[in-house]
Amino acid sequence: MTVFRLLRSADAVEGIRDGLLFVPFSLPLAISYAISARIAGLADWQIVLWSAAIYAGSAQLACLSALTAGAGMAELLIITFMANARHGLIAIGISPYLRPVTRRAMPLLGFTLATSSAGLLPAKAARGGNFQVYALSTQICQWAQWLLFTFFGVWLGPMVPAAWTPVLGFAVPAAFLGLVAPLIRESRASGILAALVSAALALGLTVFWPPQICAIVGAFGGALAGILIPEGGNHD
Amino acid sequence: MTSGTTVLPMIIGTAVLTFGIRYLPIALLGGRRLRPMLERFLRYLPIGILSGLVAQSTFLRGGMLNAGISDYYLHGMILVVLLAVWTRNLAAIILGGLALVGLLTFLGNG
Repeated sequence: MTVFRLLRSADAVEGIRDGLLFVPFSLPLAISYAISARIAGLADWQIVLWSAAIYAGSAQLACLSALTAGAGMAELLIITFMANARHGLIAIGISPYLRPVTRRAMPLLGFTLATSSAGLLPAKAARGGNFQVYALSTQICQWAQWLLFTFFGVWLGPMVPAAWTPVLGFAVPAAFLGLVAPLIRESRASGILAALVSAALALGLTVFWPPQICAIVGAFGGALAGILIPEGGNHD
Repeated sequence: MTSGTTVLPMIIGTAVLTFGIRYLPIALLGGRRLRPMLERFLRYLPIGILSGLVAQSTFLRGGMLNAGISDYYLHGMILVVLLAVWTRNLAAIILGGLALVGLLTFLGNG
């Protein structure tokens, strides 16, 4: 009964509403994953089970392409680590906001952590309200979407016209930009500097390193650049 | 093609590793009071992560830089930035960008 009461709370409704905004983001990714997994030879139940257990679209896609090329367990674990390293950074980045979260809720919060958490959770902490209910409801909503769309992708994937793929793919940068905008607005000059430095490093370093490494180096470089501007320098 | 004996250990191994990557930082750092400078650094980290991903998902195709003026993603990103400045509505930002890229793609192919 407590769960149903929580689900009706304003913070849970807000979390579910914000989670549903990522339908255009997770739908094309889940369908791409389901199609790739079928091509790699996974059974339908394995495709859905993997999505439920790992909830990491980019890692799943990267592992599938390595698996098809004959990669072993050690290579798959290295690929998973590389593709998910940014989630470790996101977990570190949201940790200052987690004081209202109970120890019991932490494992579920960690399991359902997504890239969107980097934008949604700090913004909720700034707005106020029940942070734990919001965080769990928005993340579980997105995990459920991922699972549901994987299930749909197994059956509907072959019917999606190929011309739609690049259009649906634009949901990824659009969603990330929509998430970072309020964070930049909140921290003003230092936020703009952090964003510009990380974007430049994440792109420019791809000449030397794989994109996943560049994104991590860019995130560190951007955050370091952000603290160079004194907090007083953030006022208009 | 893969066999069930390969896939199940892969599912378990990648799931355990992924959970560890996400949960351990939260378990170790979550709710603790950190040095103010470290806390400031961590508050800029989400901006750094998301901005890098915006840049890469807009301008990288198959690991190669693709920033031509004729690229529909660049046009879509200009609209998305304008929407992000004018509105705080995430749905409007995502759907507005998708609508423009969709329109340009189908007009370009037509």
